Amino acid sequence: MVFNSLQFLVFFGIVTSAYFLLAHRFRWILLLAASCYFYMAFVPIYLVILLVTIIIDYWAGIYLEKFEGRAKKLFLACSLIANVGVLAIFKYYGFIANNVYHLAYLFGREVHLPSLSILLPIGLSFHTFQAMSYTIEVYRGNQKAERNFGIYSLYVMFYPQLVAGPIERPQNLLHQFYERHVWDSDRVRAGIMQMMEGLIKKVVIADRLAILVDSVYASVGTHSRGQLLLASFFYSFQIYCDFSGYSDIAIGAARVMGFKLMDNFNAPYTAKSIPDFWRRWHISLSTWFKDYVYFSLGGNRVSVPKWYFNIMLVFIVSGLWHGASWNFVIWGFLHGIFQLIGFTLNRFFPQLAAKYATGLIRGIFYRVLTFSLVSLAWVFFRLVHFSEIKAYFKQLIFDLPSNSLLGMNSNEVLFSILLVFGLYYWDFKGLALRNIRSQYFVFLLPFLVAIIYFFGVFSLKQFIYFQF
Amino acid sequence: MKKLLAVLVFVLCAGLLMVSSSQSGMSWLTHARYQPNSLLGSDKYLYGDLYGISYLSNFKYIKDVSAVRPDELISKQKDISLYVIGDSYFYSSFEIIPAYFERVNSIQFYKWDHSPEVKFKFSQARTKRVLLVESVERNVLNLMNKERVAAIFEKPEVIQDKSVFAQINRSIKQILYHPTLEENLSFALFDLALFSKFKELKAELNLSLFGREPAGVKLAKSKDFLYLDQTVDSVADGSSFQLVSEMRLTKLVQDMRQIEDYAKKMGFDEVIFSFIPNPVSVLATEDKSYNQFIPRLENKVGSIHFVNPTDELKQQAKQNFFKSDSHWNQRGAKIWLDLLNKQLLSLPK
Repeated sequence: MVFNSLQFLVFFGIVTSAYFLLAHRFRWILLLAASCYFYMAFVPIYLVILLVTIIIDYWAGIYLEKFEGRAKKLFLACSLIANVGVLAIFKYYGFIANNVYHLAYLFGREVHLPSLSILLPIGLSFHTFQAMSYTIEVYRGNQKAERNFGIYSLYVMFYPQLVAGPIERPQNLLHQFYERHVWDSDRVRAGIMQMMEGLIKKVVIADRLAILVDSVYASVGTHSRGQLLLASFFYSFQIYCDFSGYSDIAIGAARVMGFKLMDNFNAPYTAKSIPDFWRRWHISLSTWFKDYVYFSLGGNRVSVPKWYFNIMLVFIVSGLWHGASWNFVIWGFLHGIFQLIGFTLNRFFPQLAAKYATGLIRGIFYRVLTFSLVSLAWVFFRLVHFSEIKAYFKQLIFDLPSNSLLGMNSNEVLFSILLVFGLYYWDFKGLALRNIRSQYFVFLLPFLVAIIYFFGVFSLKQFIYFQF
Repeated sequence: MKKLLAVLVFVLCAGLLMVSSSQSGMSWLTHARYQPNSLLGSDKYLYGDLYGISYLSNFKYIKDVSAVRPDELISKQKDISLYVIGDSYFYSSFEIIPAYFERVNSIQFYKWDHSPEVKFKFSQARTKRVLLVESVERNVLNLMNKERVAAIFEKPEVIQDKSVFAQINRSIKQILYHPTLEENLSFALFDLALFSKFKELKAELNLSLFGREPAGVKLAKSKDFLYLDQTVDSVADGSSFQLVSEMRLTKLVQDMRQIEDYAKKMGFDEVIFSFIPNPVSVLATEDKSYNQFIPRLENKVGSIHFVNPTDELKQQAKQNFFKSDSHWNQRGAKIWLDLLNKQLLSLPK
């Protein structure tokens, strides 16, 4: 069940109205049942996998609180191994088996690991990370173990953020299931507006840009340099609108019922540097890696070579989190390299940029540079096969003659560019529909529905991040 | 007030979900929607199926849905039981009665997309059993194989994943999630004449501004006909412009022979094949050249009884097809009927 479907509209209507009609003590049961229904709409049986990890983490949490010392570490290890194990089997097994085969082949041997024909459970990386966040926080003493099994299950399964985040922390979410949320018209309006903003990003912008992007990226070797650059430019905004659109709908849907989920995006393409970009992009994941991996490795309080190693490791793992494929590793590697170059330049030439440009120009220069680097990395994110990546860069460098079409006429290209710049301005100014005054709501809502209807592309296209 | 609003939303959404998730609910809704001249009714097919997909207002012609009127037949002899496996080209143009067909005393019709449980019933009377296999050009390569036809006569073996997990998955899906829920909800919520103007405006906006035709539909180069996108797209299966190799045609003829042999073993005396050309194959409005699928096939079929109405439909072609529907009109259907009747008359006694 995708957020941009009528099924979700009806589901949301039923669950939200029932939520406010029910007595507080029954609400968590409703939300848990609704979350199970939502999740099972994809592959029902995968609920069992989720249940297994929930049981393990639930008991691990309780024992982590009871024990100290080595036993405590053991329980944490069990929980982490169970979670990472599920990820390894369902997400990385095929990748590992394939690489073992190729590696052995290099040494003249044939090693065939048994093949598992299993589908990746939807949103596995998201809810696994959320579950790990719980046990780590209990281990660190920042969170009390949850005794109510149903509430803990709901923490992992809360339907708005179950399949594509934001990846919540227990300190932020768990206590909210105990709070009595009353109907607050302002909050409901703000939630609905945020959902509308997300829908606009998804169906009006992302899915329209996808028309050109899909057409060009389907055969990169047959498109001109200009077409490739335009497609890459569009893809940067497609993936942003697709994912932040999802996050907006998730956060908005939760907000209507009175839940406050963490922000996942903060105008990422207005970033002036790669570190700044990562403070604004997929915030719930980047802070997860920072809190649980980067700091655990020592962060920047180590020798410079170790620090650089930590950064590279975090970004490569982050790449692998997105998908079990080498192109995601390269994507993470590139971001790591960009960070290291930035740090190195700052370290040795702190006045370099300031010397050559005024404030305004410097701001534009850094934003364009950051966006270009991020967009370059997105090419590796979008193209899975090395042959495609090779063809892309060959065409980009040599611009060999081509006569392929864009999949859009010039009016639509222009319209799409206007949408992108409109969005950029919206982000740059920090505007948000949820902040709109309540008296405008009655007029604005039908207007937004009309915008979505007339300018939306209704293809029920999956959200890109669902695959992770 | 807030409670009342919540109750209202709950009842509306839950009711909608219940109706859209059940076969009987959808049948009731469909029946209610197709009551004529109501703002809450549906006009999806009133103006032609391609208008119903595209909502291009230039193609909003009321479609004459009356059946072809039967002519007086030549033959007084009624010695044929006709069994038809066909599609909407047949059942939307003719009533399922023998009065249309020369020598026919009884007729049974089987839709290609019927569930396999629906079976032909053989009449005990000793008449000549003739099987007519009819299909529109775009579906021919898909449908013409012995297994597909055999499934109509025998209970087909349904290949399903028999693992426990797969069975649980299937059961849960069947109980909780109707397979066409999204389409049903779309029908329930938006397939109202009330919304047609908005749909037309969106379609016009996309076409005039972005040159984008509604999904599934293609506007003829001559701008006066709508086609199913699949029939015009050169790379789509069933397209009139997709390259079909001689080898593929030879294989198709082999398949037709297998079907004929199979039908004869099942007790049929004769088998007639008739493939109806895609409208775009006949109307020749495009600047691409037709792949001549049906004429080339006709040259290869040899002794197989084959009714090809292409040449006859090409005479005053524009009068034989609806402008906003994927089917022929009554005139086109009558042309085919006359050819079929000639074929029936020519069959041995």
